[in-house]
Amino acid sequence: MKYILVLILILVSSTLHAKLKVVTTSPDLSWLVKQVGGDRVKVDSLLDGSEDPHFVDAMPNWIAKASKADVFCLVGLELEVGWAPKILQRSSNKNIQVGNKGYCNVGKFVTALEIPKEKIDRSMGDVHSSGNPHYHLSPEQFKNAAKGVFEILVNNDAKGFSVYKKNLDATIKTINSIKQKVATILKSKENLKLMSYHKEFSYFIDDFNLNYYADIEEVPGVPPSAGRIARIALEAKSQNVDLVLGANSNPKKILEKFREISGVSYKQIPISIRKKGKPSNYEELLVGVAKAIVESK
Amino acid sequence: MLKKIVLTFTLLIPGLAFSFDGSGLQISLAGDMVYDTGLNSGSSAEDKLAMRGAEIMFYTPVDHNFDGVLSAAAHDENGETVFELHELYLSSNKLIPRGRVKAGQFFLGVGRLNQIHQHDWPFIRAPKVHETFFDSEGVFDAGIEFGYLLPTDSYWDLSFGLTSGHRYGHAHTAGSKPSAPTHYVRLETFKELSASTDGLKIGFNYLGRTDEQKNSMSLGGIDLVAKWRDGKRLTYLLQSEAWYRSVKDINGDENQQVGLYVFNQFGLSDSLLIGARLDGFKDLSKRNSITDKKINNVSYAISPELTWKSSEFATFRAGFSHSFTKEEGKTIEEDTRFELQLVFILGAHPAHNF
Repeated sequence: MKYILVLILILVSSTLHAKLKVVTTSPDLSWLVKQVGGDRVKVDSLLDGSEDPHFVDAMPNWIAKASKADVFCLVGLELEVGWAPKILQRSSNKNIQVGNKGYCNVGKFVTALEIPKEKIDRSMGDVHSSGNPHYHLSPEQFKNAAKGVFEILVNNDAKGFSVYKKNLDATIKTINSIKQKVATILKSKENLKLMSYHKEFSYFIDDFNLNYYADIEEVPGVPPSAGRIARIALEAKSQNVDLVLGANSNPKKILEKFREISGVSYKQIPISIRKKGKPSNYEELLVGVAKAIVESK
Repeated sequence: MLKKIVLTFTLLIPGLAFSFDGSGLQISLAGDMVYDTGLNSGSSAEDKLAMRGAEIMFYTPVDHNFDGVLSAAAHDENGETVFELHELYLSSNKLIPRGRVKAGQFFLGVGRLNQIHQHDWPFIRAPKVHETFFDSEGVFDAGIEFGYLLPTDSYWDLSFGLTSGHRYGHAHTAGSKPSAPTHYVRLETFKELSASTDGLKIGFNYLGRTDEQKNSMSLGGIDLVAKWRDGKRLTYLLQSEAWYRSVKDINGDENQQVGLYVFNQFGLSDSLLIGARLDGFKDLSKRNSITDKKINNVSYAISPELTWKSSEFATFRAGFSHSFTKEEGKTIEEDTRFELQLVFILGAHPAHNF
């Protein structure tokens, strides 16, 4: 009888302290949810940080993960529009469907850059009508994202309010300190003129007030033509551009061709936290970008 | 009069836009054009550019529980444009935890190609096994389908369906009441490969139906698709289906056929892909009508192709196809043709399955 009671107590206590299961699309969001959620959440991300999140398939194993989630967080701003709706649909998990309390569109909480002012169509390439979705490289916007995550976690686990609030405050402090560290690194070499392949670094450039010239891409999401590469490379040369930033998933051949013509070096760097390997947290990610810039010459 | 018409439209259009905004209605249109030309005398190529399909699809949540889909397509059938309803169904993934249900008319949830609209196939024409067992495009019917994601750590999805079975395959008739309606079951699983976006999906399928004349058809098959991706580039695609069909008539006589295709595609760049498909088909029951001896027969085809994707929404494809049928070692049919395909998508397009 005693053993049965102990067993019941163990079972009841494990149910009472069941962690909130959160699935995120990106490892960056996963890091953020871990910071705000602490021990009250169990987090897993679908992407491992090495992919180009614009172009992945709705992987069936991700459907299996989403089916068990209490909360599903996505970057939003149409970054995952090609695959996340299918994951949600096939998961048949009512709680995480759009509009329900487990659906966590973090993009809704940020102030997006590059929101098109004119009417958009597909001739303009992969333009996101709600703005640039790569906001995680902005400490300021990532703090807004943290506040959004806090709101969603409280909606799903009101008992954890005080823990989440304490963690949110700590997360904001952590992000502020990371921002300070990155700013100090960038100060060591000011006024560098930068370019990037795609608009992945817009928020970083904006937050740290860096000197930006142009993108190599002419149409977002579309590989530039040989003519465009030649034109923009010659422009970069005449404008004394110091460095081109590229994500690891950007096409190396195009960056190489650009370097040949312009003589401007490029660096391909991780723009997302990795599930395994480096960068393993937000500090490593942003410090990595900053170091890539200042160590350019 | 003209003023009245203009005024009516002026009043209607904002109202229409408002109703679209509030409902989330998505509209997708797909155009699929194919040109083929025969390269040998036995080719049945039509030597013309045919508007193979123009599909229009509407989809949206109907309310907080249900989603609705309507798709209809205009096809070129022997020079005549035939407009037909493909899908009209109500579905829900919110009523039963881990479960999906749909009711109405839809492409049956078996195999790989049968579940993908033709303009989204990675090659121009259906393999012989698909054309023989599921018709050149696919089998759709009216009924109900239920799917359930098993509560396991790895991905296992079980679905089954029951449809009227009044007709099977492509027909423009009402059909007739079958002795046993079309029924099917599918179990699919998935294995993640080296990287997070590489994987292999395998499906196991069974489909049965007994028509009014008591011809009982059983279909069993395996389909697989494996993809390797590097950033935007699909580096390698392997897609294959193998099917066996048995049809028993009222006297117990049985016709058996077996077939498969294997398609390999390599991404040369983000937008350029090269691939080749091998088809095989065998009629296991074919007999000589005079001697009643079994005829050793086999059909093969090889179809290399080059695909250029300007974007996800515009695809150009060029390919050769060489197919032949042999009986008792002698070639009795041979068809060599050159084909071109142009596919484009207007408007929205639903997210793709793996």
